[in-house]
Amino acid sequence: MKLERGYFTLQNLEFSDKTELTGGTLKVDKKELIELILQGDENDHIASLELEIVKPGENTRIVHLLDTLQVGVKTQGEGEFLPGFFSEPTTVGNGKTHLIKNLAVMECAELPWAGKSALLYPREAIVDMTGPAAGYSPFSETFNLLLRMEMNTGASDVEYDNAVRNAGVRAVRYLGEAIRNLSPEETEVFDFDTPVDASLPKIAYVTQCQNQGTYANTYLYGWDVHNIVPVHLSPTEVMDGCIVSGNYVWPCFKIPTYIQNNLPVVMELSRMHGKTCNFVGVIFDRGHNNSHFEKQRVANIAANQVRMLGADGVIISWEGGGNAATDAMLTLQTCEKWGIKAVPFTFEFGGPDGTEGILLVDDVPEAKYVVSTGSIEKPTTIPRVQRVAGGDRLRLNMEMGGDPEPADIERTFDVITAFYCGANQSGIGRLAGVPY
Amino acid sequence: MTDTDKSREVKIVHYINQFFAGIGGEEAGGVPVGFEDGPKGPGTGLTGLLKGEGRIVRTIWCGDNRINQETDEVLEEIRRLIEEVKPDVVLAGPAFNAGRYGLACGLVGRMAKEKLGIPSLVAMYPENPAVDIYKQYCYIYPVGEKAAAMRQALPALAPVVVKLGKNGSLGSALEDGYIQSGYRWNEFVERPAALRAVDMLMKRLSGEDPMTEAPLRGFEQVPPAAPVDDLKQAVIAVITGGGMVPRGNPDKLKQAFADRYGVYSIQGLEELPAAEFKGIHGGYDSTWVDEDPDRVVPLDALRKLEQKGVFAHLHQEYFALCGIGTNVAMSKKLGAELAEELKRKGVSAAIYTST
Repeated sequence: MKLERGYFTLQNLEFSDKTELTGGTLKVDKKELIELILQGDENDHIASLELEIVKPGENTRIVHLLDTLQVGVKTQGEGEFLPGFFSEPTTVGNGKTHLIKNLAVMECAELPWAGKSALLYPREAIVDMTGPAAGYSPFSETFNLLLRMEMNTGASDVEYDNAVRNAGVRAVRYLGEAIRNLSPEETEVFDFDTPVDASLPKIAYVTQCQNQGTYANTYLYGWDVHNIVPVHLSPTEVMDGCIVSGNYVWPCFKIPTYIQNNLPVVMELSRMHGKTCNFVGVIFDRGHNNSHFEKQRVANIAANQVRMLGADGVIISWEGGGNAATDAMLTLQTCEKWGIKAVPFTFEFGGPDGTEGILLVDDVPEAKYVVSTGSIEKPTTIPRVQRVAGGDRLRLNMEMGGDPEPADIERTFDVITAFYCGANQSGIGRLAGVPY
Repeated sequence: MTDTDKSREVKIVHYINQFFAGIGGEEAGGVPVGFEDGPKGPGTGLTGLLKGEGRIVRTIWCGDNRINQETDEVLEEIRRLIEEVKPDVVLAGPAFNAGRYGLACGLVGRMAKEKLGIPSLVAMYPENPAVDIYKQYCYIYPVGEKAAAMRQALPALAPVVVKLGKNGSLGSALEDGYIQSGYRWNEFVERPAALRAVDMLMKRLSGEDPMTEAPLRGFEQVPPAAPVDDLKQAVIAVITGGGMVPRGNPDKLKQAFADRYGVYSIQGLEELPAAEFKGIHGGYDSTWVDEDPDRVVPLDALRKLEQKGVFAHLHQEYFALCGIGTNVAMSKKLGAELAEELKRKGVSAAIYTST
């Protein structure tokens, strides 16, 4: 497969009476976009929708953040960007795709806590644009267009979940039209059709998503992957957005859609492909399988996919905390057993100073080479901010009542679970646990 | 830091044992503390390697047996001798794999840091037993196993001791090569984690042996408890890591990262009524245990067994927390407290239900 990505980089983002990208400024017709999204909300789950703009460097805190998406549009080749949503599940990854490099569409809503499940509810998710917590999220560096929604009561979790995702995807499709016919500022070609030097080391990437039920699901070509077995994907179809996130349960562990279609391992190995390595493909699966039997089953299938691709080495990463680590470690163990060198990256524990207990949720003796994405057990104080966007209060600790609290004040968190992407599970961040 | 500070020579006090001081071997292990202003023994070799950036102002020695046997007196004397010359850094060793010499170096290194506030660097073989005892108190730099490794050790040590003397602390263990102390801090490093993973894999594929960023500390094996001698006489308690609590979560237990457990009465209850109990565990979908709390605290089944006389009786409380995200140190603490409480309350065996 061969994909050309054309990029646009924003200098500014503003509201206007016509949607267009001109002179580095994306102008957004607020009224038209709101109408489009509300018209699409056929069952009236969205009570109100406001658009907000948050720019890099602003003294602003974004709250109630759900999914984050990149604006993209396919201009050549089969299928559409984010295939399977308002489009057929056509295989993507060929042709040309235009993308805005530094614009994030953010779904923000205080979704009703139905109180049914202690896992499956959207937890408060925070992005600080400046200050000590800004580095936890790559979206402190993007222009952010927030879809700030208030929801009507009485719908089910499934309906709310669909309503907010549809709003986000509609916004992406709408804004994508603004760059469809423009000439990109820069392009990158990812060619997996031309054979590469046979002596280059063959490398695969296993990316294990979270899929535990509504509010903790991941979608592949428009459908959640509850029953998926490990599947081989082309790096270019991943880049075209065949993976969409619907995971809002633990914000630090989330890999939003924006990152799913820019997975840093996929991008790096694709750039190295044909030069310093032979990137043989992506194995996509899910963790949190229920029993040891199911975990080993999936690990075996994933590792065998890697083996059948002829890989000499594999990078392994996963989304979600807890027992998802076990699925990934068993995959690693099976790969190593078959002589495939495996390097995972993961968050760590260790208590506030790193000395407490073991570092990883789970490990196997074969995990001798591990990259740390930082500890989630570090107390973090966020300062008072001038502006709060996406909502106006915080909802924390549902199990203790979850009463709303002011969002703009200074506050200390014992662990970093509320910070969006804080556990750095896509490896996109520079956060690391450093030994002294 | 001003230019004058930068150009200033780092003042080093060097601690060695009787053997490296040239006094004698095993038979001289009891020699008292001695000192000489300037380098001696391995310090002589080190001096040239310091390239004018550092200077050994005093060498202190003591017999290995004496310092390990009369520790308090000896350390007090060494403390006084160090303080007199006000060094920037204290260097001890290299002790290689010598057990008592390693311990002596650790004692001196820790004392300098804690009593005098002077940074210290101790050099020894990574598997020297003193490493695990002292690595959290002072920097320990890895050197070879035997004294023959001195030739490689000194050139590696020289820049590190100078850096420590100048800055008062070292960079990370990865940066400066000392043995990891166990302390770990979050930092924003130069390259994103994903790219570091690719780098690490490429190194492995080219035959290198890169250093892991997250060492495995090894899970402890917990031996199972001995079987219950006579089940018919046993008082049974039920513990759950599944986060089942009375509705309203009266103890404000956390849904992850537990820091305590809750104790809830089941006196007079034949089962846990769904109207009164609820799961708060943040790691699994609690829908099904909310529908019937006995699915995670099997009170209904235990009552039947109790009636049949399978065991003496069920303890009148159950114990609950959320087994998710809790680190091992906290888990051990909570486990010990819980075991203590069960014993105090006359419980002879417990069933732990997980999720």
